Amino acid sequence: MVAALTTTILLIYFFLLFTAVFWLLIWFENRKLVFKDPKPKKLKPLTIVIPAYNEEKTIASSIDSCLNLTYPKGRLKIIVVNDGSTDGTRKVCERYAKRGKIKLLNQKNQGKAAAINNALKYITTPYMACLDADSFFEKDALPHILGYLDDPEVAASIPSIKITRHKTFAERLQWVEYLFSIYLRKLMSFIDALYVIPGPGSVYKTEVIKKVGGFDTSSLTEDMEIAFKVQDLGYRIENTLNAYVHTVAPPRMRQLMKQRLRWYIGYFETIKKHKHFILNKKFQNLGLFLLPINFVFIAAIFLIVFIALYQFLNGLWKAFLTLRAANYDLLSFIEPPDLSTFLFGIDVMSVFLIISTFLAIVVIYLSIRMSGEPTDLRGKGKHYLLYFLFYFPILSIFWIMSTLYAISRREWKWRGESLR
Amino acid sequence: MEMARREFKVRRMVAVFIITLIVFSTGILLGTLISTGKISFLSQELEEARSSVEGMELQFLIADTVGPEASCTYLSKQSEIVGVQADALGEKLALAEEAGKFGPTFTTVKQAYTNLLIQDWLIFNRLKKTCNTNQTLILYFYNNQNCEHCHEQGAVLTYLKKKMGGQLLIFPIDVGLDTPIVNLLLDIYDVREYPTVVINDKISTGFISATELQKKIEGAGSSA
Repeated sequence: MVAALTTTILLIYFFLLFTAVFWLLIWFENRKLVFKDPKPKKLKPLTIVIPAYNEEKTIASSIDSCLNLTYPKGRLKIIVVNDGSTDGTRKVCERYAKRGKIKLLNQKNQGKAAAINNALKYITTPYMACLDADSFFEKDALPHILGYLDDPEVAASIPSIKITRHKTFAERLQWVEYLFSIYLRKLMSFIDALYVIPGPGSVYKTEVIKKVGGFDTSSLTEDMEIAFKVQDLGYRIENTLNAYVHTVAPPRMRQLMKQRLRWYIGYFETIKKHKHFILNKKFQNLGLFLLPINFVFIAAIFLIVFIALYQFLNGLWKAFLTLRAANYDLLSFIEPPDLSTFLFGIDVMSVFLIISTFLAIVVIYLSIRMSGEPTDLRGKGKHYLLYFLFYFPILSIFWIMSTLYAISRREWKWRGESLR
Repeated sequence: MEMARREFKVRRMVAVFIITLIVFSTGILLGTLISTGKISFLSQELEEARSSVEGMELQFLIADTVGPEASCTYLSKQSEIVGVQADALGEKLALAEEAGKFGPTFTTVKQAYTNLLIQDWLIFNRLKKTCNTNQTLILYFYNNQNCEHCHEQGAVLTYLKKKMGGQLLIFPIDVGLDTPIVNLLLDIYDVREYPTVVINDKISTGFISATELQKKIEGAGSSA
């Protein structure tokens, strides 16, 4: 029993080590190209679509930041789609529409995908981008993103995504997570293994989006779904580290849970819909490596959580028995720490822990560098600490919940409370 | 050129696998080295502990000829050292066993340690008779498999040891070691169940709580 447990732990460890080494090797192979983007031959006309549902507080600044973007005059168009807002969003937008700054579309509340599809009918520009009402591009972002679209095989180009607010516990965890995503996303683009074109900030070729019939309104994660659709037609997805879009992340655990459940259940949904990708030679790295690996990852998460829970409960039970045996005399357990006895507790597992910690630091360091963050951890030390301590346990729980949900085949309806 | 990027390169996978294997093996190797280091260290401490006990045995031989009075002070002092050494060894050995699921096993060291404990027990018994010391000696037979209450019994003994200090000496015998001398002891005391505790020669089978055990110890002390 103990032998089986140890073997399982070692196998999982080997697997996780393998994936970490894999990405580090990809980084190493491409380390000189990481910040190189092709220069766009021409800054073609581009439409930014902003779907909005009850965003009266942020929509104005969102539109303003778009109007301020560095782009040739007359080539940037903005379409705001009011998705049946019940607050003052419509009024705010009409002010801009009256001055000819934006085109406003009003529709009944149908969700983000439907809103974008609605706008699609009116887009005449070769390029289009989507932005959430609380997200914004950095002023000079667009030219860096667009260079990749010159290649006829490329359907979409993604910038680096960061979050603006990082005060709450959940926000701090996500702030670091988004940095890690920047690292991973760039590396995935090097081997053409991306499977999400994130909503805020991605720029698409309008004709391709129209070709695949727009966004899937029945999907929980239409931004993942569209990534599969365009790659199914043979297109590529690219990524730049030199352009930033800033978005807002759920500030409370409860909202984070809802978001992640939607994302992860959406992942299973999308995979199910496009299951022909898996182990399909046509999709090489994505089909033969990344998607299958994700399944192993999920299984590993289940095992790790199960083992950790078992060890924890076992330890708790043993501690209780020990306490009871000592007639509940807590004072008898207070002992001065002894170095030599501590050293005797060190073993293979401790060595592996040290190796993992070292690798984790390397990865986070690379993530920090690739995100343009200061490596002196200025003011963000707490964020990294919280991330190291809590991120994996919390996210593992969300993954387990989502997997169980997906397996149970229950229909999970997304109530359009907000477009996120 | 661009399409080559998406190519699933088997050579790359092999390279990653080899690198991972190297890192992984390094970890295992380091762990094994650490275990070997622990065994060396424990063996050395065992040697020191053994020579302390031998010192006492020599002193008993002298006491046989010359008479106990002169020797008893020395012997009592020595016995404290012997006790401390055995306890320290036991703790480290337990930790090492707990942590070290890999590499060389600690069985040999544990067997030597158990022999030492039995030697200590015999010496302390002799000390009681010769110098009339007031200590209670507890032989504790336990098993790592198949013994429901052994963990608790161990905790009880540790607790009492802390509470009663030098008056209580505990000699834990892991019967899983299956050495001739351990089997001999099991025969002598007719041990069938685990945990079994022998308090100054009085056997008590099955789990015994701290309060119960303390009563028996105090009772055994007064009747001795």
